[in-house]
Amino acid sequence: MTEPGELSHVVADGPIGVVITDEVGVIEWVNGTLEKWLGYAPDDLIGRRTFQSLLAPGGRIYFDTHLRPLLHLQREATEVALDVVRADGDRLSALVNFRLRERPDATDSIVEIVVFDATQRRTYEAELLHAQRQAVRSEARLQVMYDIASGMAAAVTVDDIVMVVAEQGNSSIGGARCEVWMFDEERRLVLGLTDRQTRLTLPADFPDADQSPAYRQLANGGLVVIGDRELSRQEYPIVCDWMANSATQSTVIAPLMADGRLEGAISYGFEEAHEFDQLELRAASALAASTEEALRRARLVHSELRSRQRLEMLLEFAARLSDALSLDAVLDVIAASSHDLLGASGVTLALVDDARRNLTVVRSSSLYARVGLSVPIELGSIASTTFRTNAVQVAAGRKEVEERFPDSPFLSDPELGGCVAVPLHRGNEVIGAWVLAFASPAEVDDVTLVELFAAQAAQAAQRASLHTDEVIARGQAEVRLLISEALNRAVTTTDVGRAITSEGRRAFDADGLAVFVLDTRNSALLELGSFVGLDRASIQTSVPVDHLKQRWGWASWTAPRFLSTHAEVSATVGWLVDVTGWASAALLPLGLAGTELGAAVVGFTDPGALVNSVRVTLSGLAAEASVALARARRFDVEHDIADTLQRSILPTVELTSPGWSVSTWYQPTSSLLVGGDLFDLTELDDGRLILVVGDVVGHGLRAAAAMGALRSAAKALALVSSRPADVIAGLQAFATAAPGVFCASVCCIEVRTDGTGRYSSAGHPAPVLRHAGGRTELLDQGRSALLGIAGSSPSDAELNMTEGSTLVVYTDGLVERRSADTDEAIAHLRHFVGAADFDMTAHQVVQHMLGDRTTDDDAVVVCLTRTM
Amino acid sequence: MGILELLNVNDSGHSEGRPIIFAHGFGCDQVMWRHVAPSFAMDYRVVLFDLAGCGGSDTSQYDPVTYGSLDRYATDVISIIEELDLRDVVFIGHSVSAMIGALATISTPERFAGLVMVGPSPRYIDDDGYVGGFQPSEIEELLESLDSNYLGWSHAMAPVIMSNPDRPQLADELETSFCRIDPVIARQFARVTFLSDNRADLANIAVPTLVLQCEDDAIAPKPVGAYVHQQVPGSQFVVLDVAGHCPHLSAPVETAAAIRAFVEELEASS
Repeated sequence: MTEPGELSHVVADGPIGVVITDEVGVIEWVNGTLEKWLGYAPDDLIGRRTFQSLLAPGGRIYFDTHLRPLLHLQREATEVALDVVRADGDRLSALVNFRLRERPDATDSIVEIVVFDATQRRTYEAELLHAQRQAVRSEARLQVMYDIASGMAAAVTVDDIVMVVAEQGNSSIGGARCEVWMFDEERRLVLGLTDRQTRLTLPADFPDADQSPAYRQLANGGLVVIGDRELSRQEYPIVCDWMANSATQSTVIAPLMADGRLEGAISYGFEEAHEFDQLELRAASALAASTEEALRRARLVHSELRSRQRLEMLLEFAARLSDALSLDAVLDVIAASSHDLLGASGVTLALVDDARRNLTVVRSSSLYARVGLSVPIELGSIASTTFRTNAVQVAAGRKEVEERFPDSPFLSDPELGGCVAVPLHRGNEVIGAWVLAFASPAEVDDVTLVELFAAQAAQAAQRASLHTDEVIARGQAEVRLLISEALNRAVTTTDVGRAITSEGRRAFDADGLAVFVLDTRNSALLELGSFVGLDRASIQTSVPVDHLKQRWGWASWTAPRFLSTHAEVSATVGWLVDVTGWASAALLPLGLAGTELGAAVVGFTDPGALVNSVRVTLSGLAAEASVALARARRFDVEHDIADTLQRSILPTVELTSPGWSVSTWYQPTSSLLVGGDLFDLTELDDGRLILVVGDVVGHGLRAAAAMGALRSAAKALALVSSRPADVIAGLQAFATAAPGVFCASVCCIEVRTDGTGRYSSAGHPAPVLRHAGGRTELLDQGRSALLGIAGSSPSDAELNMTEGSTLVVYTDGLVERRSADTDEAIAHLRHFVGAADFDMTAHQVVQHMLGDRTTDDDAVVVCLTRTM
Repeated sequence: MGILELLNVNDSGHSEGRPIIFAHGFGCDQVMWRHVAPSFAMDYRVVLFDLAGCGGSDTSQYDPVTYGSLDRYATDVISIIEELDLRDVVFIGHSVSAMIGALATISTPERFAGLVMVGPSPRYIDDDGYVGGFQPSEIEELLESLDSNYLGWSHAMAPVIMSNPDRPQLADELETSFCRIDPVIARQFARVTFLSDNRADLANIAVPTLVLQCEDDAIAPKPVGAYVHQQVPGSQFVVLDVAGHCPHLSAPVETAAAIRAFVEELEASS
């Protein structure tokens, strides 16, 4: 039985603080424990202080606005967390109970207050709170990642991407200002293209790697983290100067790399000093990584589109020229094409006279250089200068025309914005000048294309000059028509070769004909395409371009050669094909704008076969075949572009974790289309590996973009999720934000260092796990619906990879074929995997399953092996 | 859902009487008026409500961006008045609601007959010659403590801390307690309340106004009340000899008497 005396002892000195105040809060009694905790003498408190005055400011407000009303309303308040300020200014974290009780005489009330020391509990709660805040923030960041990834899927240009990042990035890292920097032409780092009005440049010395530690760090792929500008001034003076100018106190800068070279940076700035946590730095890196990827994609698409556009224009020009059988006709084509293909606002063509003293305008759309106008070649006009120097002249702007070509008649044109002039050639001979006028200096940018046009024009002029007799030309027109039709039908380079050999032989009554075309992978080598009237064994199957140039004296790959004696034929062509019986031969270069695409040899037993008209027609054949070949080559090369595009988006996987090895293979489709298969492997700090393999529906650039977006999202999720089902659930959510990934299938696998792991699959083909003994297991649990399809929520299934086991994860392109049963294919795969060597590679799996078969679908295979 | 359900509006008292709207301050809800409002029910129409995000209002409709300034709260007051078709309203606002009421009378003066500001403060933070009673750091600390206060966030965090959803009675207990507020909303509301500066609005109050000040108020000290009285044209200033910020709880009789005197004076003059 406890004595009442002991109880009062507990109240006075026990492990709790006790205070009694009047209704207002003035302290009437305080126990010894609280005095001790707070370091006050009783005299300091009793009658002098209110309880609320002992609280920290936040608590004081809370007391008056919330606690006191509560006390009045329900007469008590319990477990209130408050900081009580000690006499020395330190704080005591406490949980406090309050009770309002009437005095025995019922005159008024007193407040009984019990104070518990809750330092440890509060620490624990603070941790919980911190964890909760982090969870909320990381969720918000993830949402931003989705937004960015889906924004990027729609972004086609570098500008688009910079815009998406700058807009979305601001919210990804708690109120930060996100900016994208790109190097400009002079390798100065320029503040993103986001806001052209305030194009800030970092000080010019920033790119000097030796001078700037920040640059060095970024160039090595590292982050620059500045928690407080004032403390980092010594280390990063230039960056800190910039921060001071933009009122930024803390910043993290992540590099944007392209082919191992620094191409720009992303910065996140805060107005106040800020301690960046691990998650924020990860988010910064992840955002930079997806930006890099999108930039790479944009560049590829851009350069592909541009080169395709140029090629289209060049092909069109060449096709128009192939119909031009006289110099007049060639000039007409040039004049017309200047407007509609090159976009010039004005064009003037001038030819030199026989004495080579004056240039006379022969075609002109300019009022100021009318047809018939004749000027001496010494004149300081742009046409005369071009002719004289035999070199391209460019004047980007009226002022430059005035300064360099003061005698130009175009200067009278008030609308003149700029000029490009190229020499006009017939073969290698300069015959005049071609002047293009542009309305604005900005349009004078694609000089290379004009030069390519000029080279085509020179060949056409050369051909036309062979047309000494218009009647013969008309006679040959029918033959040319036949060849044209055949060439127009040709799709691949092989088709083109066949069209030349079959139609060419018939049209010219040739005895032997061989076509060589440029190797698609090695542009220094010509390969035998097709041939007729010759024995395969007697033809060289491949010949270096340079060798041919040398032996045939083809400096520029533009002019056909005609050989009229057997001796000459034998000496020139004998090493390449069997020329037995040939008395004459034509060597035709096939190329566009000086680029070698192929060559043709045509042999005749008749020494007089190569009459002038035949030469003309053969030249025409060469020109048309060249165009057809270029077109076909584009078809061949386009497949390679698609392939490159896809590969550029897929990661190169190199594991640093000991005990694991990985091999991957991407098999593109046989058609031209880019597929949507993807994979991604993430190594976490704790040694866990997260593998994601997926397949986006559809083909082409759109699918590739969606695939890139999905991979970015998967990467971001892998970094922050604790289990595969969360990654799948996150991607499900992502699918609602990014329509391009609707119906994609994804599989996510997590393995720990000890080989145990989990996996979850959204409509993806079941991976095959090969155990060390060769037994195979199909991982067909943990299934949920395809992305964007409502269904059961994602779940995890367990897996265990013992030493020597291999996991094979693949997309349906590996097992789905139009003619075969998928189950059968999977059984086949299991059989192969079970019997394969320990170090089986993904490529071997693909080779075994698909062989040389052409496929409509692309396929990804990832083999993950636990080596120890 | 209409504004009446949204803001848990309670329309009671004498239906033909002059309408009086009682508005609670930061940290509590309409229960605050339980000792004062009933004494007006016999002869006045008594309208009580919870500010958006507080008490029994529909918190799912609370949007921190919309409620980022006091103007939106004032708009809510006008919506209630229009929905109930009230005229010649006397608005009694405690603490932050004193300023909310002021903004409402400024925007729609034709609906109001009078304004009672109980413990008002147009700006809590000291500012170049102006004494609001608080340093910015103290307000920051309040915002911080709201985040970490067990009572404040118990409602939302209890299941997390306990990891014990099998004990719903605990949650129920917290649910039914008075003056409860979602911690996220509390933080946002505290921000709006304590960081607003409405000093410039005071001169625009055009209805008869009573400033009711507690003698010893740590939240809205007497100089602040005096400042309000001085800025509001033609206002009355009554000091109650009470400690604390909530005279309607600690001295309900005196508070009710002061309000009644003001309202009856309005009656007489109209």
